[in-house]
Formats: sequence, structure tokens, C-alpha cells
Amino acid sequence: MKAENSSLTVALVTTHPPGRGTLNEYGFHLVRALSRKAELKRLILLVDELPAGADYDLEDALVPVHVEPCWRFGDWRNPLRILRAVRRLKPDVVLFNIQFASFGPDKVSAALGLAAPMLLKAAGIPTAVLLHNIMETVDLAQTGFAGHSVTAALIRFFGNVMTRALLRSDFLALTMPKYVEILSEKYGAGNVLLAPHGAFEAGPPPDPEPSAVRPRILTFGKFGTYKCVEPLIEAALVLRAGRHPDMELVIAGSDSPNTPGYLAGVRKRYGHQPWISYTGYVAEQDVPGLFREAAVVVFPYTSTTGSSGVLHQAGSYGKAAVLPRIGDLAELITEEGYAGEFFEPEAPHSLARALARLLDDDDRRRRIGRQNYLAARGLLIDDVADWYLLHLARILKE
Amino acid sequence: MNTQVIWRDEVPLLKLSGRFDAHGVAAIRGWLRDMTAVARPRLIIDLGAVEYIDSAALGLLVASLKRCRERGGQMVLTSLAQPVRIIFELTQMDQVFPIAASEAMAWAAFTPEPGRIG
Repeated sequence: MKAENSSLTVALVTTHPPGRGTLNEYGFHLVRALSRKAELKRLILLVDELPAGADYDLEDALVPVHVEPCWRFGDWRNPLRILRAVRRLKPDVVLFNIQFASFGPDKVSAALGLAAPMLLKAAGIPTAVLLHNIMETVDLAQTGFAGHSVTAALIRFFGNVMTRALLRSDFLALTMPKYVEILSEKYGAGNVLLAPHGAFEAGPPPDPEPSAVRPRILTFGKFGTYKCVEPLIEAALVLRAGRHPDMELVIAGSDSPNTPGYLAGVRKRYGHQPWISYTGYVAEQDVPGLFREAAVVVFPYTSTTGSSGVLHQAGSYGKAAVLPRIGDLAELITEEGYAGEFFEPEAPHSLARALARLLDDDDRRRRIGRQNYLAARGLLIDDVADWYLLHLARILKE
Repeated sequence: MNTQVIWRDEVPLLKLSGRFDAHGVAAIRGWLRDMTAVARPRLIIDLGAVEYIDSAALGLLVASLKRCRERGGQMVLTSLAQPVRIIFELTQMDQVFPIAASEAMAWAAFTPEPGRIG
């Protein structure tokens, strides 16, 4: 059945697997949801260029999808290249799925990329932005963008400038209520709105207990800046020396673009440990098995940059989470109905105690897993995609 | 969450009260699906006595609005309680849904432009 806005052609600027840029997982699920919306006439993906030989492969799309690799991580020309692609492909509206470091590992390319929405808007193209983090809550030192206070102050200044540039969009969607409040108050912005992250998967309640006999701890992400596995390995060593000698640790994911070679350095430092698995990049089809086989999902973060997709995934698979006592994640827990055990960041013994509280108490682990499942099931990304389409239709009408 | 349905001229008005969360969603999802499954569905939802609304509940309202529009119908919200109004403003869904200031206005104006009625 066609909806009233069935002629809508949306262009989405995003990363997408097999591209390995940040938010590629979110991009995959958002694209999958949008590509099944009957009210779309066409979906255009403005994605990053892949290495030679690699290709984008989209499946199950119900609407025509055009894939246009037209930007490259770290390329200063990204805004102009995106503008050229949009002018050629003529979508009705453009939506960006980005965070502050989406377009480059260095300050210049990252900042220039963030100018793309403003450029499009100035060219008369209806433009909206889904921004997964805001500069006001990012710990620049921890995330690898500034090691000195003067550098951090400069980046914050330019961050404010870039935020104002992003606010030139027709609307700026943020995934957390606190972010909306901060930008509304600081910048007096009236075009900022809350659009929840949404859970990736729907389905029956999963079996909270893994099939593996040995308790398996999972951490999943892009590591090396504010996601460091050393405290987790140290905590696992503590537990293996005590009540959990069979415990296994799965470190799933790859290096952050800002810290190439980080995980290789970790492997070298700890030597061969047969109970630690380094999966490297995880293909989309391997994600469910990874979570299902885990007893607990750990977030060894020292800072956060926004709503955690991995937490939503852990919830989707009914897993208990172990989280650091820091800003965004703790707020996400309370605001979105998740639960977990908490530890002090970068403190292996605190992390070991938090893990033990779950591994030693089956009922507690299962109860938290069920609560996280209910929280994740509450709003699916498929529903969130409808929110975007309604808002996009609204700005076109205006 | 408590529910009450009032019919007038073949148009149902669903009155909700209490916490409208994931449990409330489960309670009315089927009813809303049935009400929006017909051709040109018409529906009013009164949120005047709702003390709390979460993203799952808002997601259900959005999905129902979408189904109504797909079938050429209309769904009007009315009497948003303060906690509900805050969430609608935060998500700017107050600019997407037709919202009537009172039940009487909801009955009276049934094919409005999105935004406040009266």
C-alpha cells in the first residue's frame, strides 16, 4: 500500500558494511529499515568509497536502492563531492547519519566533512542530520582528538562553530534527551529533536544462557581510543585466578581509525592466551552468534561519544551488561530502561568485581538480561525510520 | 494503564490513563491494529490522564498514525497531559500529529492540518 508521500526520494549519507567506518552497523540497520518502506520511491546511499575489489551488497530491499560511493574518510573534498553527487542524483531530501569524527581521523578533514549539511542546505537542498554525539559531552583527550588542554579548547571552539553549521540543517536529530536539552539551551536551537537510537533486532526472547559450557565474556567495538581492552584482560586474569578458571574472553571488532595497530600491540603485550579470542572485523551475519554465545557483554570504556549501539544489541539478545560509571552510558541505562553492573573506569579489580556479581549469580544475570531485552524491544529501528520519514515529509511540506 | 473506548458516529475515542509504556503498548497494540486496518480509519486518542509515556508508546502512536494515513484515514490526539506534551515537544512529534486541545475539538475537527487544533 502506498502512502501519501510515496514519491519521496531520500538520500542517506552514511557508512555501511563492508565499509568499516564508525556507525557502519547503525547505517546497515537504518538502510535496511528505510529500504523496506513502501512510501519511498527511491533510496540513494551516499557512502564512503571501498578499497579496490570490495563492493556494497544490499539485500532484501523493497524499494529501488542506488548506491553511490562518493566520499572517502580523511578526504578534505568530501563536502564538495557529496554536493556534486546530490546535484546529479536529485533526491528530494538528504539525511546524514554521522558523528563528529565520521569524515576523517584528523581535525581538518573531520571538521570539513561536517560542513557538508550546511553546504547542501545553502544550495537549496532539504537536509536533515542524525548526529550520534555532541561536542559538549565528548572527552577529547580520551577519544584521541586532543592531548593538550589548549588543543582541546581550540577544538571545542571549532566544535561550537561546526555545531552551529550543523544546526543550519532543517532539523538535527539527537539520540538522547540530554543532548537535545544542551543544544536547545546553548545555541537557542529550535530545530533540534529527539529520535531514539532504536534496537536493531526484533524477535522472541532469546535464551539468556549461552550454549558454551565455559562462561564467555564479550566486548565489541572499535578499540584503542576510549575503548581499551587492557583493564578487561587484567580483570579476566583476576577471575581466572579465582572462581572462574575456565572463563573465556572474546574481543570482537577492530582498531579505531584513530589508533591503527592498537589491538596488535595488545596481543603482543599479553602474548598467546588461548582463552582470549580476537575476532577482528565482524561481518553482519556473524553478529547474532557472537552475542548469543556470550554470558555477559562488557563495555571497557573510559568515555563515551553517544548512545551505544552495542548496548542496544546486547539488550536485543537478552544479555546483561557491565558498564563504566561515566556520563552517557549511565544516563542511557536509566532513561531507556536498561540495567547493568557498573565499575570504575580503568580499574581492573572494580571490573572483576562487577563481572563476578553477574557470573556468580545466575538469577541476577538472567533478570538483568531480561530487563535489557525488554528495553531493547521497546522501539525498533524500523519504528525510528518511520519517525524520520514523518519529519522529512514535514520539512518538505513546510 | 487503564483504557476506555467511547464511540460516536462510528468513530472510536480511546481514553488512556496511567503509565503508557511497553506494558501499555502490549495491551492496546492489537486494538489499534484492528482500528487502523479498515479503509479510511478514523480515530481519536485522549492522552489527558497519561502520567508517563516512553519511546515504545510513542513508537506505537507513530506506527498507528502512519497506518491511518496509508489507508486514507486520520488519527487525532487530544488533551495531552504535561508529561506527554514534554515528550512530544522533545521529539517534535507535536508538529507531526494533529493535536486537539480538547475532546470536543477532536470530535469537531477531524481532518485538520498537522499541528494544534484549537
